[in-house]
Amino acid sequence: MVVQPMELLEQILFGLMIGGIYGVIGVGLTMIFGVMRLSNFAHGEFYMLGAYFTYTFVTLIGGDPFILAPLAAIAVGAVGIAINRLLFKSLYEELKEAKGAAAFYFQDLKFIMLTIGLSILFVDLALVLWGPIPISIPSPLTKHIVKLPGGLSFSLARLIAFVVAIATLVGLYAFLKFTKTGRAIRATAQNPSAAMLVGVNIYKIYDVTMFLSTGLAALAGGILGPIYNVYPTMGLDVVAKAFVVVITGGMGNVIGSILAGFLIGLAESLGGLFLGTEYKQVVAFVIMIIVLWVRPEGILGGGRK
Amino acid sequence: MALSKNVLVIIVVALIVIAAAAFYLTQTGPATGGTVKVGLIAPLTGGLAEHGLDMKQAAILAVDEINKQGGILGKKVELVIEDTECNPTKATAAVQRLLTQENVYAVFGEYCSTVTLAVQPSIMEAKKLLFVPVSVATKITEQGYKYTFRTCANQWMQTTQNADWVVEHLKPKTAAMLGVNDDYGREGLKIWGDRAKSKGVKIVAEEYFDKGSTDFTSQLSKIKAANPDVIFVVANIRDAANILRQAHEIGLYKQFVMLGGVTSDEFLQLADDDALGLVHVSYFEPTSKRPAAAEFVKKFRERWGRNPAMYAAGVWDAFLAFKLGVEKAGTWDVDKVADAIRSLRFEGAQGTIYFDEKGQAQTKVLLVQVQKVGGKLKRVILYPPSDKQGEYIPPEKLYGG
Repeated sequence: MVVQPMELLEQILFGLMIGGIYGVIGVGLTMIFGVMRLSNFAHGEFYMLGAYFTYTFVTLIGGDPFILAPLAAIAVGAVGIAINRLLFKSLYEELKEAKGAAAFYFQDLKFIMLTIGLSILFVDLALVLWGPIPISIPSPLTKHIVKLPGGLSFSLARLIAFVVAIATLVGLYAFLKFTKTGRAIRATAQNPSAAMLVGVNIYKIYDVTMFLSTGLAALAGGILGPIYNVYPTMGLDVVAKAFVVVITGGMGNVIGSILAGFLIGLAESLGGLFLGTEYKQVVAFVIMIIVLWVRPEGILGGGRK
Repeated sequence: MALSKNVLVIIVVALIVIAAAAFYLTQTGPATGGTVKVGLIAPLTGGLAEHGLDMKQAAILAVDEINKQGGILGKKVELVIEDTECNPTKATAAVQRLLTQENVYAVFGEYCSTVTLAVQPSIMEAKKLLFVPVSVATKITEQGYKYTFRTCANQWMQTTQNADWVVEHLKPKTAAMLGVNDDYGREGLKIWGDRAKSKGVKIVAEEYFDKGSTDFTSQLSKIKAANPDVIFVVANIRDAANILRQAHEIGLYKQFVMLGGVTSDEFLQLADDDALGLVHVSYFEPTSKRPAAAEFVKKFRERWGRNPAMYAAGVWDAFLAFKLGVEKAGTWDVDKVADAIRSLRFEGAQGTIYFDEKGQAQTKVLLVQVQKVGGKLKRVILYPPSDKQGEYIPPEKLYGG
């Protein structure tokens, strides 16, 4: 088949835009893994809650979803902290006592079942609270189409979502790199016992990590809500993609996740173009398998940055 | 005297079990007692819950109406609702429960064709009636089961009538197709494509997307590059709204044509102005002036405060067929009832309904276009002439050049 240059450019553009969002969702998931060493299968539901919270704020307060999405992200982040204190804390306590690799994986299994349960609970809760009918969050920005020369066009909403995603990722990187709390997070990720010895309150760090992780997922949901639709099972549709991003980037590696987000967004778009669109979803998994084959630790390794 | 005490306990327990069993049998057996149980299987949770809601609300309304009118042959109808999540394994378990524990007389459902096909054999083996109000896979009735009845137009009927209308009225030279990558989408594209090709239309693109996709720009961008006159899409309301929005985002303003899955007010809310100009099949329109349809819409609105979508109409008509069939047979004997339903001809929400030998309802399909009437989006019936409400407007006129 012949691919026209404009078509290729369009796909690269859209692939990068989606990639930015994948990055934001993946980074949250990788932080939980890196800092707390746990896999959160309810991550997609925080993304879903972000979209519904944004929708609720828009209908209650009024205003543009792109302004209210950060507010929704903070609210969901608070839910994340609450869940961390109520449900996850007792598991870390047990994890601290556990000895050897077997014990570690056993704890993680408990955690996986707990978060899968949470995921189902949240989906059903959304079904009860907001109903099964999909909704769209109204924003004038989705109707505003940016037209580029050569017939390229996209909605302003998509552009803003991309800019917000990039700004968030840069902000997160700066936070982890240069602030005291950021350093404490990295220290906890490297060695929780040593961090505790030098006076880091690791439970506080877990709270902060949960807040950032769930808040980032919620932010992605909030800014994608006006572009796509909002429905109770939307989290289940992204969580597999988020895990692919995390594994491809190196589990626990923040920069790796960001890069993997872009890589997979782009690969999906181009894969759809060259291989046929029915293989679009497969491409992400093929990339993950290849990366695991060549570099089992992920493209940037599992360094807990 | 420990032994005799034990024997006494055993006798008492056995008596209780026998009494309970006798009570249970007299309560649920359709031939005796004052109620008859029927089951509804639908996706009430999971990704298709919005359609399950239509089915559930219509079923509750229909059963209440039947009971208000004194039931069927003097028996009250009791509705047992089971959630399937559109999952064949869950649905099989649910149907087993309906058949063995609830001892239902008939099963109504389901939304997903895959699920209907999965549970159909066990319902047929148990000699229970199966009313299929929504799933459209042609195979469901083609197998010729005696106790299966479908009360809506099947995939073949919907898709060929769609293609015929499009070729005749829009006179496209080229067409592109986009469908969900499952039985429903693949069958839809095959039937539509074959029909259009046989009438001289060239298919310039055939694209698929997986369930759960939210971004369709890859597919749409390929279709845009192929520059077709019309684009035929098979998708549910969520995907369809995304497809139309993203098509307009990348500047693709061609005539979109879809199957019946998008016939609901919720779809218009979701897609908003991006739905403008869309032509699709519908087997029921709440604006229809037919008395049976108007009565159904009035009752549904009074009870649930919203307009019924076509899935609700399919369920409503299935309960009508059930009631009229049993009454015509004058007995609960399932063979006689099945024969009676085959000879029915009645006015349902979807118009005049009668069944062919295989249990497929011979209903007329409507073709509608989303237009703006008085500043609000509305589905305007274009075809058939007896129901026509307005003229087709090409996208160039709606969106300008």
